[in-house]
Amino acid sequence: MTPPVRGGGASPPFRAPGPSVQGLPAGLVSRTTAAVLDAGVLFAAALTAHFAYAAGRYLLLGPPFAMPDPAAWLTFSTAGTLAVGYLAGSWVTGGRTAGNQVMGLRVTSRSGHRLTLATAVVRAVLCVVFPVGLLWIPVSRRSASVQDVVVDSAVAHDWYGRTRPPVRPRAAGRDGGARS
Amino acid sequence: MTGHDDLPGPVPTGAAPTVRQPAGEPPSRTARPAPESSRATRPVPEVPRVTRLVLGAADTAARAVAAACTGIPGHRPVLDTALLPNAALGLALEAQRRSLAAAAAAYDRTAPLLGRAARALLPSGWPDAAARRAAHWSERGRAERRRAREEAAPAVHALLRSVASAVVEQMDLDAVADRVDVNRIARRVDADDVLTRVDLVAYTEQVLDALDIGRIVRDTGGSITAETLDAVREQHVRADRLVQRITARVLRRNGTEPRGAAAPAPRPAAERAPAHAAPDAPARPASPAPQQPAPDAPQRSAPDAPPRPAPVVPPSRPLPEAP
Repeated sequence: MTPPVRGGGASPPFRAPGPSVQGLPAGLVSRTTAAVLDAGVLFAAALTAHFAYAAGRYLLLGPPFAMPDPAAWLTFSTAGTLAVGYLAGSWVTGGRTAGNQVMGLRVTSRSGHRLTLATAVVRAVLCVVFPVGLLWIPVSRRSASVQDVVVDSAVAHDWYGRTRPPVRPRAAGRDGGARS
Repeated sequence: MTGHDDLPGPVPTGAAPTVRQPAGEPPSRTARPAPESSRATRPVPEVPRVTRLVLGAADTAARAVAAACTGIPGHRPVLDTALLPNAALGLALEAQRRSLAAAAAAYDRTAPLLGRAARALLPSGWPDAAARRAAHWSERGRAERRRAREEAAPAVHALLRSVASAVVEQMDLDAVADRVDVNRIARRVDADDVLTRVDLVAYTEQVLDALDIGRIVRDTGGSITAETLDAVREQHVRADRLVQRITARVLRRNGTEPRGAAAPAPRPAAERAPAHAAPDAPARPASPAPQQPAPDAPQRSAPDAPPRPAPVVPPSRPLPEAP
């Protein structure tokens, strides 16, 4: 725990510098957890959209308040489009989705650049259509999933990103990510 | 100085002479005190008391001096054992007592005669005029004493302060404090009464304002969240390595660590690009590792190319994809 510093309200709390895994490719567990978190975000977004549609319909047309019951093809196509848009947009703009942000991961090309829009869309489609491609990560020498192999991308650890604090001497007794 | 002049006359004590019976009355076995009228006009024998006070003060001072001179070589205390000084003192006191008794007896016998003679010889108005003049001068003398006392008070107080300061400087206050029973003093303190006189709410608010509890909570909460998140990430990294080791063991690979490091320090190009560069312009990778040949990409570098300097992130040469 960071000890409170009198009069130091303007300075951000001290955090240890990046872990030793900074830049290393992420493994199966981390990326799966990030994918599950992204699925939860998408599910919450879809649920919110359902409630919003039902509320708008109730306000405009009156009772009853009922959730929409679209056809299966419409549901899947909308969910797929939403997922592809969410994933591709996140990778193109910030290089990471919400799940990647929580797990400290970043999706780039193999050269370290941010994904282009086309590459991001193709990768997102592959992730949505073939999510079990993550199982190729332990087999791959560079911890690449099937999607990474196809679009020549990589997922690496980047815990702090833009908020990475300046390097300072580590606090005594705290090892941070250096243990891993 | 002590205000005794404003009080009634002191009562005769100590070696006051025996009060004799007025003439004409039958003598009694036990001496009775004189009536109030005769006591009021009779000279009060304060001399023995004053003498005792003077002697007591002088004796105390002499003892203090003797105690102070104890450490002087050759000094020998003689106050309590000196024969002649004590004998002279006792003789003087006895002489004083007898003289006062004789004076009191003479006064008792001659005072009525002198009073009658004065009333017979002096005009009738003189005693009253003399009494008024005496009262007048007495009042003036009392006022002068009061004024002198008031004028001398500051000087006396200053003297007392200087003496007290000198005494305090010579005292070992730590030794005095060690002799003080603090627990006994604490038992006499009424803590409830003290607390009722203290505005605890106001003091608490001042302390909270000074500490800025809100900032502490914010910093602490943010730090705890960040550390918790780091701990979760570390656990996942360990799990990743465990899976990697298991897979390597199943596939009978030599190394157990993930190889490749294909994306070292994958920071966005906008972060690394200079300010004048376009945000979407391709930037050089932060690490030379991406320059290494990709396993599933065509070999672009010469096989005998010199090794590149070691990047910040420990790289490892990527190997071809496992089947």
